[in-house]
Amino acid sequence: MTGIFFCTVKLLRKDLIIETRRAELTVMSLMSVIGLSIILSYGVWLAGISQSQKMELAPALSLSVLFMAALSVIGKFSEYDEKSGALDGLLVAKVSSDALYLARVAAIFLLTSIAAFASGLVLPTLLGLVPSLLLSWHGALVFCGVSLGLASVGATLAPIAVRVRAGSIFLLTLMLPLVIPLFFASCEILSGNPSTRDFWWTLLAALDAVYLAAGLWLHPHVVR
Amino acid sequence: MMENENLADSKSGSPDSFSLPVFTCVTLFIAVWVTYSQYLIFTVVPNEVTMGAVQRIFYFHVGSAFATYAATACLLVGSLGFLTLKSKNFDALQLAAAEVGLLFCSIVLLTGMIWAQSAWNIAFSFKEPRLVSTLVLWLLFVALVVLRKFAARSDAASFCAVFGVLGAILVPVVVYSVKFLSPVGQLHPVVVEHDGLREASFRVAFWVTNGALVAMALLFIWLRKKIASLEEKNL
Amino acid sequence: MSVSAPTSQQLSVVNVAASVAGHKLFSQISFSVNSGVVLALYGGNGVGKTTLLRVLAGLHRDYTGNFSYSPGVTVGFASGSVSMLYEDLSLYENVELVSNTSFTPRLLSPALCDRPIKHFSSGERALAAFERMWVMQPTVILLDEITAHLDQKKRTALFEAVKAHAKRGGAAIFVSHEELPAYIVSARFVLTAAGLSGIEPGGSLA
Repeated sequence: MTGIFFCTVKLLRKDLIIETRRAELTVMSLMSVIGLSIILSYGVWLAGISQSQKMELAPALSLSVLFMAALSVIGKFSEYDEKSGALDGLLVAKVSSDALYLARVAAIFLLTSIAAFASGLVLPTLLGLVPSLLLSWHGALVFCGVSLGLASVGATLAPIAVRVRAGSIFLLTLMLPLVIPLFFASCEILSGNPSTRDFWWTLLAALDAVYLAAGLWLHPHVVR
Repeated sequence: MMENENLADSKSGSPDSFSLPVFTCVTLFIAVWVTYSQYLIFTVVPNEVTMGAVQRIFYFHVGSAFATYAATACLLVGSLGFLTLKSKNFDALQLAAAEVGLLFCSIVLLTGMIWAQSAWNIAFSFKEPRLVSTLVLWLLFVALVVLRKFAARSDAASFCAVFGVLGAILVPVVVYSVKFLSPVGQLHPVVVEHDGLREASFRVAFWVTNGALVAMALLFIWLRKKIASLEEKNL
Repeated sequence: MSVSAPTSQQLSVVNVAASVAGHKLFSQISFSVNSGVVLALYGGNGVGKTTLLRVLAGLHRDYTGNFSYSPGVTVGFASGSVSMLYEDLSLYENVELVSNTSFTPRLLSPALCDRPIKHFSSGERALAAFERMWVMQPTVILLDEITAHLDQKKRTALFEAVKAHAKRGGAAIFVSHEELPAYIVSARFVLTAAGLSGIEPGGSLA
């Protein structure tokens, strides 16, 4: 167990070092957040939606922006692995598949959290709202739950997407049905009926647990 | 020792001709069963008081839903079987289950939308978690079928098995969790549990059609699995 | 480094045939490799030499037949064309991912090992791949065109390292387009679509 832990930390450190040197993923996800936020908030402005409706709409729009930003991050990580056969090198060296998966989940989670923070800040501001979600523990926890689910699913499916035709589009196709329940649960928690909030929290937690556990078991089957 | 799965499955041999009479008998039996269910739906069952003749779509809708769940169960078995045993038979099963599941899930969605339009004047609503969970299931099947076509031949089986497991275990989480939601505000009727089928003819038609459609789905899976196995041998 | 008993079998390959994208590359081949053996594998372009090595390294799954390593035998793979390293990391950082022991480069200068792999030349990348593989102390080494971009001095140093490895009871399979020196090679095979030729009588090497 400790062996897997230290291996996971080493692999996570590797992803973070690469990211600090390239800065590609952070810039890409932040630009996605900013670009999408501008487009969506312009659409909301054009529709002439009232302030109270904007407050109801803001969480769902923030989560959409987060999802699109996360997609770009998830796909790129697997491309790094495939480039120059780096993942093959780790597999030949018998690096633990569990450690590979957990480290990748952690790396995607960290970068997605940055995108979540940005989307929670930028989009409400462009809508003319106070980014209150960002300032609340409630909102932060929901974004963490969604990010963890996205990371778990993404870490499992990205190695598939990178090895099929039209891989960048395919990641969206594969992730969409698994991410929609996460998305709905989060939106219902943030702006749905308060009486059903407990149910949606349970669903969000259950989905995160299922995706993480299943991903851990399935990951060796998607890497060579 | 690393023994490749192709070698392990070479004992499948030629198409077993002795099962053709069995297949023919089963097909004929199911054909009669389905025909009988149609007879019940269109000639025996009276018009429902509120909705009239449109209500008859309920039998196809619910039966197709059961057939979809049966296909999902086969998908899970095929996917798990392939991942653990690396057997091409299980790969053929998951391939067949994905395609048949897509067919019946499409029927569920379409019939549901037709019924919803006439009952509530709205074909689709995000207010209704059952509709949404069926849509998610439909997207799962679409992704599986497309993945099979887009992946390289050597990778397709493993990839589809992984995605099949993820999708199949998601289904009970989403579908059954809906039961814990308050029914207030939901559009989808819970007919059978709330004693909606009081007429005996309704109940008979309901269970006969459910059985017929599930049997039809399993027959399609069996046939498609056979075709997939033959295609694999010919390659 | 584990030392095998003299002439103990380390790798057994039985009726292996590999395909890429559904296209069969070579017919069923069988051979075995004992400790102390350095085997040279030649063949034309596209015949499947690299694919065979990747099958034996566990990186390519589209094959039939079976192969096995003896208990306790570990395998290493290094390619002259694909470094299998993270290009944004240095060699030290790449080695850290797979090994907890301290790493002293044999064929590259320590200063070079501190720079990101993407700044390496083709020859330096091949050597970096070899160094990273060497750290794992594998028993059977699979080398794919590793000398293709090396100068004479580096080539000799690499051959000496492989020869010493074989003397200590390890084994190696070299895939190459160029003739390898006789003093390190135990036997030569040629791989064609029809299979292997140049094999010793009985299908094994000592």
